[in-house]
Amino acid sequence: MSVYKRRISAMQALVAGTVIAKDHISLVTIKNEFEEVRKVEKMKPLPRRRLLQLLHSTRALDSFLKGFTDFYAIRGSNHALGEYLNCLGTHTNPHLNKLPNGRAKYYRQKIVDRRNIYMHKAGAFPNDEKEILTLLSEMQTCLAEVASL
Amino acid sequence: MQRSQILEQVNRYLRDNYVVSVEPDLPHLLVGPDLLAGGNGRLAAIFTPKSTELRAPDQLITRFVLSRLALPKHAKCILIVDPERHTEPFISQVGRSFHQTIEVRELPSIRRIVGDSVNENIKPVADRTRQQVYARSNLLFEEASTRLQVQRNRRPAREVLAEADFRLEDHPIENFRWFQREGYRGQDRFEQITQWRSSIFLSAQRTENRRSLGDDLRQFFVFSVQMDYQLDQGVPYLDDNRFYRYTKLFIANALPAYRQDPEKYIRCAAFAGILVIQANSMNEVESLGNTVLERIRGELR
Repeated sequence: MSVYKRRISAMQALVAGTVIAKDHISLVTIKNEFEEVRKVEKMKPLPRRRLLQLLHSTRALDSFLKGFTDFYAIRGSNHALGEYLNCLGTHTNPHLNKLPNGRAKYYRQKIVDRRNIYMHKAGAFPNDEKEILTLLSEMQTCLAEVASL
Repeated sequence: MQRSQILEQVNRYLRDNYVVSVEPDLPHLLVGPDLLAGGNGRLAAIFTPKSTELRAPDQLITRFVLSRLALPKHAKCILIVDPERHTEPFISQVGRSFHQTIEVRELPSIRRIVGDSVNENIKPVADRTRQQVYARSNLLFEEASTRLQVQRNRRPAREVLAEADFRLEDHPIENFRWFQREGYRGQDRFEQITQWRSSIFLSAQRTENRRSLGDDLRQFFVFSVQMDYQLDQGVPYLDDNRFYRYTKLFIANALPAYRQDPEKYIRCAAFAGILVIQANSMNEVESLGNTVLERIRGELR
C-alpha cells in the first residue's frame, strides 16, 4: 500500500474516532474530502494536482476543526481556520486541553498564511514540490494534534 | 497465524462498522499501531508483535508508548497474540500494559471487544505528561527544522561521532531498561549510542542509505523512550529528573527526507525526545545540545 494511502486512511480513521463522528454528515464529508486527496494523486500536470490536494486537505481540516470546536462549544462567530486555532488555544472548557502556547501561531504561519496564497491569489500554483508536501503534512499534523487534546 | 493474516482478519471483521487503516501512517510516529479503527467516536489501536519484537519486547513497548501519547486519550490499545508463536513469558510481560490482550482464536469477537468500554485498570496518560511531551516535541521539531534548512556540506555523521570518547557501555545503561535483558538475546544493545559531557546522549546515521537512517533512528527511539518514561500498568510517566537533565541528539548526514512528508523523520524524532542535527565537530554538537537543554529547562519547567 502506498505511503500516501496509509496516511490518508489514518486521518480518516482518526477523525471517525473523535467526537466529530457524532455528526454523521460532517464525518462523511470529511472522509470524502480526504478520499479526494488520494484520488487525484496521479493527476497531471503536477501543479494542478497539488492545488487540488491542497483544496481538499484544507476543506477536510477546516470542517474537522469547525465540528470539533462546535462540539466543545468553544467556537466564536467566525468561520475561519485561524479563528478555530485561536479558540483551541484560549478556551475555558474544562473537558478539553488547550492547544499549547505558540502552536496556534505556528499553525497560522505554516498553514493559514501559506494556504491563503494558493487559495486566494490568481495565478498562484504550488510549483515547489517540497513546499506543498510540507504544507499538506502540517495540516495532517495539526489535525492529529488537535484530535489528541 | 502470520501477522499479515491477523491484520487481514481484523480488517475484515471491523470494516463494515469502523473506518479501518492498516499500517496507518501517523504524522508523529515512525512506527505506530498495526491497525487503527475509528467509528462512532471510538478509536482502537491494534498491535500484534513483529518477529523482531519477540526478541526485543522493548521495541514493542516503545511503539505502544509513543502511540498512546500520539493518539487521543480515549484510544483503546489492544494486543493480539498467537500462543503458538508467542511464549507465555513474552505475553505476560508485554500484555499487562495494553487495555486488552486477546488471542487469535478470539478474533471473531473483535468487533465487540473494540466496542466495549476501556479497561479501567489502565489509567489514561496524565494531561501534564501529554502537555510536556508535545511542548518538548514542538520545541525540538522547530529547532531541527530551522537549523537543517540552512546547513550544507557537513562532515559524515560517523566521523563527527568518532570524536566522542566516552562509550555508553561504561555507563550503567541497564538503569534505563524496562525489561531485564535475561532471555532476550536479540534485545537492542544500544551499541550506536554514546554519552558526551554527561548530559548529552548521541547517535549518528551510519550510512547514506535512507533505510539505514530509519533503522538507526528506531534504535535510538527505543533508548530515548526508556530513558524518559517510567511505565506503570501501561501508563507512561515522565521522569522529571531525566527529562530536564539529559538531551538526545541524532547526527544526520543530510536533511533526512521522507516520501510525501519531507519533515517526518525530524518530527517523529522530536516526538520521541530526540533532536536531529548536522554538525562538523563535537564542539558544535556540545554547544547545540546545551542550547536545547537550556531552552527545555527555561521554557517547559
